[in-house]
Amino acid sequence: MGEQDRRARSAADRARAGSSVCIRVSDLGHCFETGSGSVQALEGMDLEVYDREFFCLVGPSGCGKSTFLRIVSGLLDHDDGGVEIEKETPADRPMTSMVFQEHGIFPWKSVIDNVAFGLKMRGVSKERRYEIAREYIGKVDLSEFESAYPHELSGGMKQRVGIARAFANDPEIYLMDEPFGSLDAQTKEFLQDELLSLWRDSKKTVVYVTHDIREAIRLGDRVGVMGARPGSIKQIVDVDLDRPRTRERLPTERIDELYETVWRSISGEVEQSMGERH
Amino acid sequence: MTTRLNRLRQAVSVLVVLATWHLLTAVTGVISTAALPAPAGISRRTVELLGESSFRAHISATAWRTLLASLIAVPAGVGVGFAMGLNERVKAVVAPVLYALYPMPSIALLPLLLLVIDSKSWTIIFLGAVGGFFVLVWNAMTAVEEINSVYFDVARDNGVESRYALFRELLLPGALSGLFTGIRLCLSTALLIIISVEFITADQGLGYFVWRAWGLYELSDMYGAVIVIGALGVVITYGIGQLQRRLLPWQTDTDDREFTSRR
Amino acid sequence: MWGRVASYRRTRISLKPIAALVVCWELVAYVGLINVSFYPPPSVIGQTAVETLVDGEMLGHLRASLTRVLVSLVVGGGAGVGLGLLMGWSKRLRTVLFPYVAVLYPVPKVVVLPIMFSVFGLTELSRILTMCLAVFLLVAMNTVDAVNEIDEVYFEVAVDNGAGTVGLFREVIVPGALPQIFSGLSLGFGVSFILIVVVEFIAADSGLGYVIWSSWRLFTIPKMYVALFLINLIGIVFIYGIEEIGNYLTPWQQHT
Repeated sequence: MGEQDRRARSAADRARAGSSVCIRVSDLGHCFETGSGSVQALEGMDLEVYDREFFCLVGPSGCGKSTFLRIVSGLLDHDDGGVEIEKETPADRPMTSMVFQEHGIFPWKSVIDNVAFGLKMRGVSKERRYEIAREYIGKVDLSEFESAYPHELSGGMKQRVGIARAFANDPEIYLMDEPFGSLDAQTKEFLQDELLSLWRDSKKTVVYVTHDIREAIRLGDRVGVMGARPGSIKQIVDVDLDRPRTRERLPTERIDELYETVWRSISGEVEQSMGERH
Repeated sequence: MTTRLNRLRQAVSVLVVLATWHLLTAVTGVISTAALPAPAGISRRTVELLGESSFRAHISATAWRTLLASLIAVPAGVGVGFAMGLNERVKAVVAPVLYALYPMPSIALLPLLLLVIDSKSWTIIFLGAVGGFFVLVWNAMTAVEEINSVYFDVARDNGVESRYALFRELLLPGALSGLFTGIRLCLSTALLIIISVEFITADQGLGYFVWRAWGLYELSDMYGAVIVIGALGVVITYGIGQLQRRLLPWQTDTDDREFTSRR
Repeated sequence: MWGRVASYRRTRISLKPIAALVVCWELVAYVGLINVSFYPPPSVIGQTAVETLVDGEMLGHLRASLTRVLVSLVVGGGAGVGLGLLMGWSKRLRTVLFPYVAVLYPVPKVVVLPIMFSVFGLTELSRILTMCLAVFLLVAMNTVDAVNEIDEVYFEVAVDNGAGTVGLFREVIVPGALPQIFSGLSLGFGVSFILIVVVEFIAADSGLGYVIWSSWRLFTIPKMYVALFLINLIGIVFIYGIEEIGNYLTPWQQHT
């Protein structure tokens, strides 16, 4: 089945489900100037992310997934093509909020100040923003550590603060850049569950970048495979597993099948990117 | 903004400053050349001075003193600093003494030393070395301490057993970057002290030359020597910077960052 | 870097070795082993200290030195931090100003002194300007470095959460650079301290450095030691004071 057909089928499914397109990426391209010349990070990238879906993006390192995320968030300008977010910017909430890899929280702020940061920048009163922050700190189970500084926290705890902050901002779209990349396997699984339950409550769109295929399948409604640099969407795999995806209910066989599909798609790209000189 | 454009802008702005200076002094006389000579006059005199062997003797006196002071201060500072960083007991004994002494500017001891030591030159060198030593020793100590203990575990896991091997494989490269800054500071401080003491009491050296030129009101001479001193300082600071870049190529240049708010 | 310095105050506060030294010195002088005209015993120094402090002479000099150091630290350091932060933030500013700062920074500022004198005359202004300039350049360079050291991610986080320029300064740049700014201020003080001694040796008629120099000339050695001791005291108060203030303002750092 060709890529076109695959997309059409998903689109049909979505249309049936009544979902509209949230993020429309058309022919996106971006070029970086570095000390040693220019690098084409993205080229000809097309993608549609649907409203309220959990969309995962996997690809070999250096393929431009982080660049893409930053373009969607507005941190980076792009050179060619377009990214349209087909939603109205909400009045007092941001359109997007990003969860970063490590170092996403300020070492010089306490946990609660970190979580309340986005709210502070939008002018929410101190009382109100602490109230909201406490709520989300509670949801990620860090209430005891509200006044602690990041250097007192473990890696997993720090990431939970980053997630709490993004959710406290209550954006339309969550952008997550390998948030659990630097954590050990057990912490990762635990936090994945936490994230899924937070997302379930929020009912918003998520674009989640990761290099961990199993994680992508575990979390996502669809998994987009990005090609090696210059990056573009090579394939989209539907993850037709039922939610809620708690550990007991995960059908391991189906997951393995999906893993194979994605892996086959990605492995050629990984080889290509490993052969490349960075 | 490419670096070529940057360099051009910088060159232009420097030229503008020099031109204004020249205008204010030589051309219009708003500032009298007796107080501040024109750049043309200064550069001419500087070149002349460099041609005179007596002036060059002053340069070499200062340069030698700085070099000798550094040759004393750097091994001493690094040695003591490393020892303190590696061994708690050494630190416990030595650190309090250094803490008490560090706030004292070594130059204050000059008159005392003059009473006691015969050779002016060696007094100058010694004071420069002391100043440089104090700046370097903390730097060396923290450079060692800051290497995460995790790295030690990693190294030991990978079979680096002996203390010496640990030092060589792990400590030295890791400590080197902070150390270079410390060494740079050490040399600059030594130079500063040496020039200062030469102001006060010497019969040779660039500092002596500047002070005498000022006393005799030969301002062009004074500025010329100041420029040479400046050049010496620049060579030390940026020379070591270059050395650092050669020897430690893994350090990245963080100069290209520019962050503007987007929302 | 200087964060670690504070913890050793506990070891430092043990005055026993110093007390022991003082006693030894006194004994050795009493017995006649050392030349007391060069090394007066602590009792004599103490006596001179009391005399000169009571009659106000030493106090006047102390005040003169203290004022110079304080002004140069506050004005030079303040301006240095301000400019350093701006230069760290704006690439354009950095490009324009960098050649001047870069060329002036490695020059031993003591040579600026005669230049100041020839432009402004033999005044207190010239002296203080020289010291201010020295502190300013060092602190500015150090602050630019400090801003540069801030992990780029923090800027992204701030912008992503809606920070404007003011927000970036207040929430990222200042706190991020603060620890290193304080160690730079400590260094800046050290430099101004060296300078002040030189300046007071050769081109002033007040101040502790002046006292040292004139007591050497007039061979009133005990006074020299009193001044030395007071200088050391000022140094201790400032260096460890700056560090304590720094520690207080950066509660998130692990001050071992």
